[in-house]
Amino acid sequence: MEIYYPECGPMPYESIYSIYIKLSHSNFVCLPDLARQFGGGVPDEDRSHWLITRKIERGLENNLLDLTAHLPWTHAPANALISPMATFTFCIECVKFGYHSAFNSINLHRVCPMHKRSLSVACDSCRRRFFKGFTNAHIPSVSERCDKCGFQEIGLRREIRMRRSLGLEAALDYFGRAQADWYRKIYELEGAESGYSGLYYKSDLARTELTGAGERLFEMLSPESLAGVRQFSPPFMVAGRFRTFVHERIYRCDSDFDLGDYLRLHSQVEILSRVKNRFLAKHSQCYEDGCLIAGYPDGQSRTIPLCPLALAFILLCIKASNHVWPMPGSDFVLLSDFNRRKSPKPLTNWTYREAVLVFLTILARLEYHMSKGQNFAILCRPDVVYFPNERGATLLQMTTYNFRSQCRTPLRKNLLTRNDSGGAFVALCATESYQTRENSKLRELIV
Amino acid sequence: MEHSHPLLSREYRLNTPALLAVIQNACFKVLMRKTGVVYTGEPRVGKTVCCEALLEEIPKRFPNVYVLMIPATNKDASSPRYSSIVHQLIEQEGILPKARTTFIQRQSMLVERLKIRAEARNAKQIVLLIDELSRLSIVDFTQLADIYNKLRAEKITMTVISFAMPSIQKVVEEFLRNDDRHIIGRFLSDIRPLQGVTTLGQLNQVLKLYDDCANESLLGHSFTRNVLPQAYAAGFRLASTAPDIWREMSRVAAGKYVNNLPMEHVAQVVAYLLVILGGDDSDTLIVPQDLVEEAVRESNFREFCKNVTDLRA
Repeated sequence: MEIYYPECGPMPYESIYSIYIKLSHSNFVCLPDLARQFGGGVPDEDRSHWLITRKIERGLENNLLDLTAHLPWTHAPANALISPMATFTFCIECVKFGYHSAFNSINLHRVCPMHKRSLSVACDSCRRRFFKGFTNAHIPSVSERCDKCGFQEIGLRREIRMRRSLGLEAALDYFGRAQADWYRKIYELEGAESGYSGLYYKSDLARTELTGAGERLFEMLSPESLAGVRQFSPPFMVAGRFRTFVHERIYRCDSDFDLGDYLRLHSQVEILSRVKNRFLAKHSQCYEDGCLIAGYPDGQSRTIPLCPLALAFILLCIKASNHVWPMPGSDFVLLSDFNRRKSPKPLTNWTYREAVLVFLTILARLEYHMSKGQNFAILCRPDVVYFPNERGATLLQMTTYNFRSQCRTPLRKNLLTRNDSGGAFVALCATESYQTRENSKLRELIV
Repeated sequence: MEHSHPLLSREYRLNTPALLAVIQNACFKVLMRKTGVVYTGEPRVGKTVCCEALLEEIPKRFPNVYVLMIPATNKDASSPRYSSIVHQLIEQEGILPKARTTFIQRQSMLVERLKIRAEARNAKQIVLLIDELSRLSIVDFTQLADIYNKLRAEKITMTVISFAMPSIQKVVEEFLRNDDRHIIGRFLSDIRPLQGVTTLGQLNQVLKLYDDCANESLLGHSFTRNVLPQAYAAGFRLASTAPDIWREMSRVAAGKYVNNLPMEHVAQVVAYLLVILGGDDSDTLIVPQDLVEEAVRESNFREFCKNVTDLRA
């Protein structure tokens, strides 16, 4: 069978799913028959929900031009992709000219850089209809805009007409290329150097924190920045995670983790003490105030000026001794899904280096959340990943001097409070008054 | 001369006066959005070559027109469900509907494909070139009318340019008997004769094309110059043999081919002359009368006229 595709070919960085469905419509062949045509009717194990099996991919490559740019799995690892058969995300503006981007299938990719808007999720009805492909009942397959989700199929003819829009293909190519470059860089983070790539696709927080740092590191714009979403973009540095003790004050950098790291310092107390001496030398009063508020509430709510360094260190100490904090029994536990979590992991035996990294990461996260200008509660949970990989470099955001020294700046109004029943710390950064009981939708920072 | 020489493989196209007249007339019909025109001619006068030339020339002159050509064949014309023109077009487009797909659905597939093809060229007009129109049945014409109407609903006009034997007049008469005048009005109201080489002057023009016109993609220079370089340099031209060829071919012509030489046989005579003369290329080349007679005899023109005329009788 000769496969027909309109002479203009696929649009730049159009998703393979969209191309495949259009092949079904343009050749008037239902999807199972089309799959058999390419010899790939049975899904591969690792692509059981992807619609495009390896044989189909090879068949398409033989019939169409180079498909590399159209395959989501060339832009992100397989475990970072969401099957469009399960969740079909699309840009409501792009579907007006029949376009579905290859990047829409990447987990946590939620913006259309070209139209500067968030992606929408197709309703079940539209998704099922779209992935049904060609049926004899609908020739041509054209649907009205769905009132529920906004999805529509415009048909090949109208798509070809819309593609005559001046500069459309150039714009698609520009934004597609920019996103491809970005995701290639993120993809490259996965591997020997670090495991940040995995975090980037799995955690909203990690994606947010890594985006700004990545933009500076790669000297390029992320999809979010291309879409005009403001990024939290503090300075960053790349720190070698492990240094092997050679002898006093001399460490060998970039070496594997070995027994020397454990032998360097003896106890968590000593490690925490060294961290405190290093970072809180000029914030001893802040630390004492923080300890007061972090202690048993004694039936009284307390509020103190917020010192980020002291708070980060107190949180570090809490994490070293508690998996979950505040403990069950306080009303703040209800903010999180504590009861649904698995049993806590064993306490981590940090090295000094690791403790410093955790401390600095907590500090950076505090700055990010405070930069939003909203109040937030701070919760400790054991499943927050600070070291994505056992080996290699650690990408670390550096906080600003102004942020770290805000406790000594009279103009700063940020406060740290804790209620009378032993709840979580609440950072008061918003200008409006804070009322714990009434404000049930408080944002959370989980460290 | 090599076996693959374009002169023998007939890979060339001569813009003969008849062919140019057809192109000019057909392009005018396309320009005026006419629904149909039929060119009728005797066998071997060059209808298929004209059809192929239109397939090439119309897109050059009208880039926003989608042109497709179909050599009609008649298969199972007795059943309206399996109308041949729709199935031929579906087959030509590579569409493979399932066995249980209804005829209406097949027709919709075809129309949809044509619309997509036209849209890809930003075309609001489709030109359908049909060779051997007389092979289509009445049902086929009805289906063509349906396709025309469906496209018209999408504001796409269809112009059907057909080539047929003169017997197409019988089809017209049949339509008249069945009161299918809407089909005559659309596709068969404009029937024009297509002649071969009708005068010595036209033959002279045709032979000049062998002498002067170069098909760059094939040889780089004219056929005469390619085959007879020395004679050509000395001033020999094939056109000088036009009176002899005309006289000899007219002498053996019979029936409908009197003063209507088929291009097929003219090309064969020329090819034969060039093949034979190619071995004797010199500055003083002359074409003897008996060689011309031999060339006409080898083209089998006499038997051709006799058989075709007898069959028609």
